[in-house]
Amino acid sequence: MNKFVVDRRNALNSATTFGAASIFTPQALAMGLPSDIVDSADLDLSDPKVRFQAKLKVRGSLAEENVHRVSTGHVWMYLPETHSYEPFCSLENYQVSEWTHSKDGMFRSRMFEAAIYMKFGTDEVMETWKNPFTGETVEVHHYAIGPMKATYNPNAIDSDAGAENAERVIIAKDINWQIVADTIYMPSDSSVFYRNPLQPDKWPRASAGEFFGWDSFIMFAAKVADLSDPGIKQAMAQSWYQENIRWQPWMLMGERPGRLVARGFGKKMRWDTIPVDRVKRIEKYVPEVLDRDSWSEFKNEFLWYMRTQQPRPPLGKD
Amino acid sequence: MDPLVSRRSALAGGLGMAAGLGTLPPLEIGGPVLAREPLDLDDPIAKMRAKVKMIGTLEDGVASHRVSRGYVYGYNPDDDSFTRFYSMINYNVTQWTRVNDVTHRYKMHECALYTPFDEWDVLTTFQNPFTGETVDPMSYVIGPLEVEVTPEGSDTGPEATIKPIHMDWQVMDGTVWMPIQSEFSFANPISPEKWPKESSGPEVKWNSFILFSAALNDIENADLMKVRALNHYQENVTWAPWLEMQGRPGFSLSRGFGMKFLNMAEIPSEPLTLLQANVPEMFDLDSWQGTRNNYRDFMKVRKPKPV
Repeated sequence: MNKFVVDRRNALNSATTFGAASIFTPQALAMGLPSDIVDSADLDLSDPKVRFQAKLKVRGSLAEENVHRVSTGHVWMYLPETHSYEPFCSLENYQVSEWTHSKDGMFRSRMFEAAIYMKFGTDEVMETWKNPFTGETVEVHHYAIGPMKATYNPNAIDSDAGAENAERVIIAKDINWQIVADTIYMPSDSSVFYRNPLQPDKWPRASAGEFFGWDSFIMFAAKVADLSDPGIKQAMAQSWYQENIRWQPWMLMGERPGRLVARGFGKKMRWDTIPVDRVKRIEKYVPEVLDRDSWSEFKNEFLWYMRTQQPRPPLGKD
Repeated sequence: MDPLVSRRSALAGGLGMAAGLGTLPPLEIGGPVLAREPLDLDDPIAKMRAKVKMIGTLEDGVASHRVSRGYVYGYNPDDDSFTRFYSMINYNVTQWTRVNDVTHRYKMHECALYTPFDEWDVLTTFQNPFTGETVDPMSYVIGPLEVEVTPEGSDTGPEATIKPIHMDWQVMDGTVWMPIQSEFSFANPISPEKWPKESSGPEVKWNSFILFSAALNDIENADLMKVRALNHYQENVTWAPWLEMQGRPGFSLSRGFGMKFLNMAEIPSEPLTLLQANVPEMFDLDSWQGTRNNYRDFMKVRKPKPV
């Protein structure tokens, strides 16, 4: 494990050198602010148990509780023929995971995720979308995905927590964690290329191609002090995501080259601190994510599309 | 109303308001709040002050430091895939001047030092997975770039290629997020005619997104002139010349994260040591000569290679 730990003596020496050479002296906070850098020596990330607890605190919880994460995304269409990016929509993402402990000492989670498409840079829901390439207006499908089940073994922290999900396609690869000042960063990336459930011969309009590409990067950032404190079971981490994915089925883009580029940011929140407007939109557009007791069968945007929609003939042959 | 007067009035009023509120919660970085300046997203002056606190400082004659860790991938349109390339350490220094209550200027210098993917070491050679050739990486050093920040926005001057576009800010659960995008293209100084091996093509295209986030308590604390801010970025840029892509279609995708520090002493030792050893000019800005960017430097120190 690569520790990216503040070495204060070294940094302070460097600051002095820099200050002597510049009229812009980086002042030692002349306004008198106290420094609150937590001594990261308290957090021994070389200890597998500490790492296990840190990871669960940041991504979920060590307690038996529901964990909520809210994000805002901005999405562009990347068009390779012009190497250009066209604003497409904004997203309101909501993720909830139910954390439980089993008698065998395992931590388990059941995760659901939903997104509501918004007009780019606004808080107005996108009910329909006009495809700029075909001129047709299509109905937007706000998505709800889940449940994704994971089992975390405190005695085998590097085991594959999501192995029981037969439907899963994304397996994130961890990148080294880093501690910077009072914050720990936990990045991961994933790159998958899999056979599209919607094959173009049957779904010529909805399928983005024989294979579906999905590349993503997600980062969690939390306060080191929250991880050092045994009384804190869930760190209210910030999260950022980036995704480069092929077209969604409901866009009816067919096999046109290109991808959606999504860039988002958010944080874990308690349910009662999520903005009311967002909760109302979740209730209206993706209510199933609030009624999880009735939700056991796995679904995602592809399965939803195949179950509820019919193949459309190629454009011009309607 | 004179915005300067209204700003002073607001700050003065903040003192009284804080006294009326009693003790506020502990801050992310500071002590108790003595004066508050509420972040009204409809108030351009409040947003300008919040922005300066996040990206730099409201103080006069003080430098601000930001260090990020980036991960670079190559996009191959032939098979629609991304491949891990290398990592980098970005170091951004801005030297701030307070012109008046509503105008701040900064002079920016920035560099990127390449490392093997997710490793703390200098990338001395790189085997390009798309061409199979081993190439010489070349860190980039940029600056100075002068920018003026006012309630109307950021003016990067006519010579700058980057024109940032501010997007919708978000405030949720005690956190402020400020996303910024920019997109531009220009004729490639590394032309395909003269630099057939090194040129990415006739045009350089750049699409980027950067996000700053900070604690609302800090932003609204009128006693704080700067805040610690997290940042996150994505850049989609045509190939760097040292990759020797010979006009191959595709682009570099950089994904990164980091922090704007309260002072230089907060920079972690691992990136600081590598930066000081390999890009010493970033730590001696008084001796900086002329205006530098990666294309000028490349043409100065490299020669066109035959294809």
